[in-house]
Amino acid sequence: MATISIAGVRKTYGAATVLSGIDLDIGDGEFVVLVGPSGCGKSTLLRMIAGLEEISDGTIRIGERVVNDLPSKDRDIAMVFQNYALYPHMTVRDNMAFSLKLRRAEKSEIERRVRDAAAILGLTPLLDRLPRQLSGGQRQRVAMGRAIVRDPQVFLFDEPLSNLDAKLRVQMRSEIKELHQRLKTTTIYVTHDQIEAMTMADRVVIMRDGAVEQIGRPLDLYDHPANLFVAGFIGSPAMNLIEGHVEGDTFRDEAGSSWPIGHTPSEGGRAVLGIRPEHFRLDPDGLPFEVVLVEPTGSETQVLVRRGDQQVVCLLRERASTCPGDTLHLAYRPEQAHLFSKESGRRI
Amino acid sequence: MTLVSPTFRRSRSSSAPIVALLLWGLTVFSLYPLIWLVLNSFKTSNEMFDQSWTLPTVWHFENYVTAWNYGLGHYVVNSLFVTSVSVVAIALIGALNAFVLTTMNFPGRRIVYGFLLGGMIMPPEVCLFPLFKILDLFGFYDTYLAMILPYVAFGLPFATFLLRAHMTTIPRELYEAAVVDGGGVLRIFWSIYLPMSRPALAAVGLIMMMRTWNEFIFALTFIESDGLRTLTIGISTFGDALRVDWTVLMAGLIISIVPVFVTFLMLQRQFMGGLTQGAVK
Ligand SMILES: Nc1ncnc2c1ncn2[C@@H]1O[C@H](COP(=O)(O)OP(=O)(O)OP(=O)(O)O)[C@@H](O)[C@H]1O
Ligand SMILES: [Mg+2]
Repeated sequence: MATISIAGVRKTYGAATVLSGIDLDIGDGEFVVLVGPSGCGKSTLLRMIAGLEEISDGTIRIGERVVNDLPSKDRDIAMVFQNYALYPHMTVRDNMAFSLKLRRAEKSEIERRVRDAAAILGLTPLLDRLPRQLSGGQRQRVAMGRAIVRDPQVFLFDEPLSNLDAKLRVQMRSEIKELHQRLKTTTIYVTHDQIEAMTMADRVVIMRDGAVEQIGRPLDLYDHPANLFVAGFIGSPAMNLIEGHVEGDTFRDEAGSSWPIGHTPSEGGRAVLGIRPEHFRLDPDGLPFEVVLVEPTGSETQVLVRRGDQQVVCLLRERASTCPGDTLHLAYRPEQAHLFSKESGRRI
Repeated sequence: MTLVSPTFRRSRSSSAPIVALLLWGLTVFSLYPLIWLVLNSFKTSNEMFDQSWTLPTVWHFENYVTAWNYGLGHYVVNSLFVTSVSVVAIALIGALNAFVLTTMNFPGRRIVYGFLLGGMIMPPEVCLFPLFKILDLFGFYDTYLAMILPYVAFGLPFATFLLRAHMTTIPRELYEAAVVDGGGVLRIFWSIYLPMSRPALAAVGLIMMMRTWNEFIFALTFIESDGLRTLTIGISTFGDALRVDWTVLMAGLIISIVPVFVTFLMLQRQFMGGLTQGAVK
């Protein structure tokens, strides 16, 4: 187990800058998730930590050691790849034992460790099979087994669940989380799925275009998104973002309707109001909206409503028996509304 | 099943016998000389001329013994030695070439590969005289190396080409997983890329074995001592000595085919995999 400290790390390919100065400190035993849209540089950062990619600038430390020039095998890390990267000509047992053999571990030691890892992951009856004789979920487990037999200081995961179907993904998600609670190994986990990020992480790092947008605990990101990008990225369905301007302690949208915000923000002028769909509730004293579309999911109802020209999505716990054209009265707690500067995108 | 359309079934069943007939014709056409050779290798010369298409009245297995004792034995040993050393060297060096070309990025990589491919269109006959000079200069003339070295050099382009084509289908992540697992370059080659290339290696091994086993010009030009000669040269001189004893010569020819034939049977499943792999996925 170890801390990881990333300071001013940059990555360039020729003229193209892929990572522009990343700073990140990860505590011992922490589970950190890197999340962001495709192409934002998550894998690149992970691969730099793994030693598979040169570090253009800055330093990466694992524990006390600067690892910039340390070959991958001396960094004491293990990595799980998106397509598992199991050695197809080796049995499950040999796949897991390979790294131990390379480290010239004792035969009995190898056997013991493989047996233990297989038991933890429920792979014991599959040890003599080849990867092609396994299901997707089993392969995924072998890939994790290969990582845990070595008992490394750090686990690195690059979208390990994206090849699995939805149901298995949920199951493996909790298995990985459980495994982490048991082994307490420092873990960096890359995904572009914000649900995975929210449910698994101790802390989430949200990235965009090679830079960090915000770092924080999942609920902090949800409650206090630092900017428009994070506000739109975290939460599903996405936060409603309404453009307009601030007048004292109210917000006026483009059509001139006013929305309560409960306080007078430090910055006036053009702004964006953010309200999460799940923060709307039915209230006879609320604002009047016209129903456009109703989508029941069973447990909740997603309703698209309109106020003037402004469309808003809201998520209602109650079974609202409304149809398009009806009028709904909806309210939200002003302190749950978010305000962002239109210009910088930052929270105000 | 009603799901299969009647026209589709009819067209299949009506063309099948024609295709089968053609294939049978082709089979007979290519097996006929071989069967003739086998049958007559068990006869006396007189019987061969009188009734060349009947089974032998008496099976003269001693033809094979005679052929072997005429000196064929040590030609076979020479051929086995030269061929196996050459083929192993071609496969191993070719695989290393392919490995470096697929996994490493270095300046001039394409030029090196292009240069290697160029070797495939170089006819061996053109190089005969310069090769002779070079081998003579290094003192390899009239040694096993005078055959092995040129065989390896002329086999490498094709071997590299085929193995590289195969290795580019191995996902890059496997290499990286092995790096993280702690493998050095040679270890990754030996434990991951080489075993994963088995079908391509079988194809290379088989093709190179047939080529080397049947090679004539180099073996004739670079070897002088009878003790070093390989089968192809041996058989041709053998033919001169045995002008009248045709059936013994045939027994000798059969002996010279057997090793290639046996190897083919052993490797054929892997071999087919090697040539068609990647076609369906
Ligand atoms: N070898 C390379 N040369 C040039 N650009 C590269 C190279 N490898 C990656 N990139 C660029 O770096 C950027 C980040 O890539 P990266 O793979 O880290 O994205 P990612 O966040 O993991 O995306 P995804 O979610 O799709 O996996 C991309 O824009 C990509 O085009
Ligand atoms: Mg990626």
